[in-house]
Amino acid sequence: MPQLQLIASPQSHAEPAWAVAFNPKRNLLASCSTDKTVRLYSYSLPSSSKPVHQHAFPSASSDKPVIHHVKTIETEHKRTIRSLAWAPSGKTLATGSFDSTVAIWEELDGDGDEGEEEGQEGVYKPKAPTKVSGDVDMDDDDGDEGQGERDVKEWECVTTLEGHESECKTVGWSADGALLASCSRDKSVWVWEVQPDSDFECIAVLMEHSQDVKNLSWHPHEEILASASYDSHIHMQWDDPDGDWCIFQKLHPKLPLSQINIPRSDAAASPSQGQISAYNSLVTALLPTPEEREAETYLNVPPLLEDETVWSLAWSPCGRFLASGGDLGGIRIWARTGNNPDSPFVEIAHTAAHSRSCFTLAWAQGGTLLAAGGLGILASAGADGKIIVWQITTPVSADGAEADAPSKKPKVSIAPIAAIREAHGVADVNCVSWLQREDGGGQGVLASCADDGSVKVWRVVADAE
Amino acid sequence: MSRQLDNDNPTIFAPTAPATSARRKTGKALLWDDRADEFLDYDEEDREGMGEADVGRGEREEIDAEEVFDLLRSITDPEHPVSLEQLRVVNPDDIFVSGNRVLVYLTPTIPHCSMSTLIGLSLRVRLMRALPPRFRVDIRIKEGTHQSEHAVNKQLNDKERVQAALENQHLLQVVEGCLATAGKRGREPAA
Repeated sequence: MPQLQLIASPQSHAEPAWAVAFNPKRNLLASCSTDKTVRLYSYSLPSSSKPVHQHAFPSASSDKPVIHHVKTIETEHKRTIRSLAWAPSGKTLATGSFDSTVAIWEELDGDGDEGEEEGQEGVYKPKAPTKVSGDVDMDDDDGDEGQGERDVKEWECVTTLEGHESECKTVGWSADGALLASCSRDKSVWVWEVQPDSDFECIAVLMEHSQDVKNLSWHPHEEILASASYDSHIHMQWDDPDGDWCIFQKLHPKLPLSQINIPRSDAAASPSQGQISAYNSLVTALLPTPEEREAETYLNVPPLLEDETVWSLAWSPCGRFLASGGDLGGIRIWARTGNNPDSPFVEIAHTAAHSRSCFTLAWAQGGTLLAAGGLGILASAGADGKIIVWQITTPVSADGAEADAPSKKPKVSIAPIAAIREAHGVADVNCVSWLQREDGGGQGVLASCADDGSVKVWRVVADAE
Repeated sequence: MSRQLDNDNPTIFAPTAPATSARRKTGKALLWDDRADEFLDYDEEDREGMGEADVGRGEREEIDAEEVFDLLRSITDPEHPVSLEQLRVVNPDDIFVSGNRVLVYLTPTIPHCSMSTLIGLSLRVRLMRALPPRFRVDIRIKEGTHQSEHAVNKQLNDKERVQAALENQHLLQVVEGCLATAGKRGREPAA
């Protein structure tokens, strides 16, 4: 049974940290905060990090990735930076702030060796200061993907997108990086088209939510955008070939909560000491402590009777499923029921997860193999301070094909495989983000950030230490 | 103020609980610094100190409902120069503490009081600043005392909205105004 192993706690933000994201191309992690800064961290994977097979987790005793802080970007945002997102190219960063703006950041090309920014007026600065610390191995500059980023230059805000009337809550790039979406307390979702020379043109404003739009998430390979709101709805929107950007479905949760289904320790016959200990720590992390149980009973807090806010969204890597996290702490899974871009989604699962709001979800490949029905690993976290990793699987028939045709209502199983309570001490966990690399390295590496300003990096390991 | 008050003639009650001295007599260590209260500026070092003590588990300070009431009783009503205790918006019997959790019911003076969200926000900010960070606070309108009870409850417990409110200078000023008297803790009626 896997476990979450802490591998780094780089220096904290001064105020609550709201979002973390791994750069999809470079060995960088970014975090943002109420302190109005973005912090960049470099990571390097151990040379042995290529997994045995694509979905295997490393052993707890194997060499750990190394992470360290490399740069702090002092932004011009006037309020909390609530969200950040890397463009798929890895070259551009978007930040969304409570000051209602979205800022677009690019790294200054100090050496001119790549030349992308050359010729852009106001962007290119010939001699940006480069900081090279004394212990850096200078002869390795061939961009080995396993190495940390040694030479992170200055980052500059190349454009600021204005339009929202109040706090911007989330920003996100479409799969190919051609579109950027932002959402806000002003109830709107904006879609921006990326044009040359850091120009962004707003091509759609969707205004059908009746309350704050908390989160949005692009389909992993199609131009479909999901948005989640305080109004308890999820809107599915796309660029209708017969018209404009529009909502093709409004999802509203209906399924009652089902209890967490903790799998029995898998090697039931003769589990090793490590397996038993990992299993016990999972159960301990998931179940309430006696003190929590007593408080629950004694306080008997009246439930919020309005429909719950949807705080978080995450697409499965295959794009057939969408997970949503609610204010009551549950996780719901929605499945697409057809093969068309606008095929309707249905709610197929609702599992108890967190004891308070589930603020964040992240879904990546890993764990059970695709051939065995594996749909990847989902990480969730929230106001109860826990981080939980779930294995999502779908039943497969004997010949290895998925048991369900896509047109039917698919089944999924959501099983917790690793969990940690008080992941950031007593603080709420605001965001989790998986490392996802094209070469498959670093699978199961997860970043998280919290209300106390801390940022941590974890990895899922195969067994207890 | 030229604006029409929501409730222009609220009932003012005598204090419901003795002033802070009662708590002192129990000999419990003070968790927060009175001076910090008076300056309203929350002392970060104190708080971090408490946080660490908390992580160590050995010396966890217990806090009871009476102490939470003490922190809230002298907050001034946004519309009237009297305390929430005098208006019975907060009552010692409507505060519950267990483990790391606090539940506070607030009772608006009238069922259509538009100030309820603001009062709730003031309570939340006060507790955020004064309680050790391990506490998770739930705030609820006392059942049946407000026409939009559920909508207000939902707003008061949305942390993103609370954070955004604290970055809104106008709103923050009003909240700070209400909290300016919070440090009195029932020792004397709000001026």
